[in-house]
Amino acid sequence: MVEFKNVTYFYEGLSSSKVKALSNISFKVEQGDFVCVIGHTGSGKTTLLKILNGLFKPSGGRLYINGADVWADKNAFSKLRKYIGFVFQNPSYQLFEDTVLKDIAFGPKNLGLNNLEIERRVKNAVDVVGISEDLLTKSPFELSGGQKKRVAIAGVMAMSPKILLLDEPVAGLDPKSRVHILKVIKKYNKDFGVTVILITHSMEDVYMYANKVLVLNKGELFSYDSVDSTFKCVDRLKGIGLDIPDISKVFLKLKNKGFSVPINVYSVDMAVEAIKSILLKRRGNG
Amino acid sequence: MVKSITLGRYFVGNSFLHRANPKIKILVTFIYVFVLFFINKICSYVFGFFVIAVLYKICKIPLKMAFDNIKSMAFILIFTGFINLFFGGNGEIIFKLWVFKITKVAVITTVFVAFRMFLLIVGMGLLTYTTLPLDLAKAIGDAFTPLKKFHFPAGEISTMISISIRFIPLLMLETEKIIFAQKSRGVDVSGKSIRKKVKFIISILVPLLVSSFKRADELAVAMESRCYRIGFSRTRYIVFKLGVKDLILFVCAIIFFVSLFVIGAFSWF
Repeated sequence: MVEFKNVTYFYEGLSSSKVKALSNISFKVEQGDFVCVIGHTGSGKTTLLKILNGLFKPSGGRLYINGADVWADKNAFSKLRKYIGFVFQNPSYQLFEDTVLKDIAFGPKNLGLNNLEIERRVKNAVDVVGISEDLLTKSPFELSGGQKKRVAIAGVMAMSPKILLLDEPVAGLDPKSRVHILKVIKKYNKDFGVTVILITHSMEDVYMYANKVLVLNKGELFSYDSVDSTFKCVDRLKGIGLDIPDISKVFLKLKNKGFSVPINVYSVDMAVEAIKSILLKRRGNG
Repeated sequence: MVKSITLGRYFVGNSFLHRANPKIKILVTFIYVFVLFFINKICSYVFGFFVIAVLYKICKIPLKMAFDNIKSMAFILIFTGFINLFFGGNGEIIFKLWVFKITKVAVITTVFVAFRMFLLIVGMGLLTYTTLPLDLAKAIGDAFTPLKKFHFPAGEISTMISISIRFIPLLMLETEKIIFAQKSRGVDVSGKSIRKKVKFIISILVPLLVSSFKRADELAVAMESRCYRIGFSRTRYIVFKLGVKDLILFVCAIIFFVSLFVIGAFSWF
């Protein structure tokens, strides 16, 4: 379980001026949750994840992991990296070994495990992510963007974290790799009970995979709620400059044109239901 | 990490030094360095520092920056100081310990060298703090232009300098990101064993090198697609023209340098 308590973070700008990146953020993530972090560019999403992983020290407030204050308890901090895995946006920032297999094994090796356990974890991660056998002996630099991403994710999963952080894991990938990677993450979340905290810009991904949504706006916590409650106010999300699901846009436009349709529609299935009920009503009246 | 580098950093401002032609600024700095090595009176040094401190004030650059620079170069300063002190000349010996002996001349040289280095760093800082790195690179490139007659690749060198300067902050940012990525994969940064340290450095250098080559490749394609050609004479978007203001700046600088000598000639220490 992760808890942010009144976390504030300042960047040091030029000539020792301070830029506020996050202000007074408090929330709790339960074990096994799938949380999507959304927000406009520069709203502090990546900073939030970096604080969570202990890369940035909060300027104010506290970060609790399993009830232990990470920055006050040395023991808790040393466990942090074992406990939380972080997949960065750009996979080429972490791939460096001469074969894919070695690269995936790099993380577990750093944890000081024995060879048998390392092998087991690597095999497990490779299976979960679905990296084909022939790629394992290749150099990670020969792979395509989607394959690199998979290797990077497998490298972090091989560390068997209890919490997995992902910074835009599917940005810039082709649709097929996108769906594959998101499904892998969802399965990992379900099968192993691993908490997933994922930054995304796609609202479609949010309602397809998440069960909770954390919305950031200009460094402040805008809302932290279930997917349903968050999307109930799509117009508010639109108000802070967020992209909303295409189907919601259609319904907002219909509403603006004078049709009496609900505006809290965010998936095609819901849209079908909504239109059906409207048609039924009309038929009933007419 | 990125913030700790103070030399070569630019301070946004609108002082007369910020607006001055970078070529003139480089020329003046160049002369200044020479002048520093010819003056040998404490009075001149103090006066020189006073003028530079006033210039820092006018340009709204905290004088602290200058001292921070000195701090980062403390090792070199102390090292040269020691060499000067112990091996810097013959004459009256004022202190002796085993093979080490300190002469009066050596003490004086050490003090002068320390003052010179200090003024050098502080003065050069004024150039980099008030000139955008890219402008600086262009001006340096321009300085090479006359050598074109001797088949010296002035244009290419100018482009190379500009590109390198442009990429320094990017590479630093990238290094930071790579360090973060490897840290969260459990790399032991504070690891004591040499093997672990080497592993840590490799895990950072390899991605950095790969991405630099990739960047270089992409940049080359981007430049070519916009018709960049080696050896072709290029025009500039912003051309530095010499104006009356630059002449005034130059004359003022010369007056400053001459006054350093004059003060030196009329004082005893």
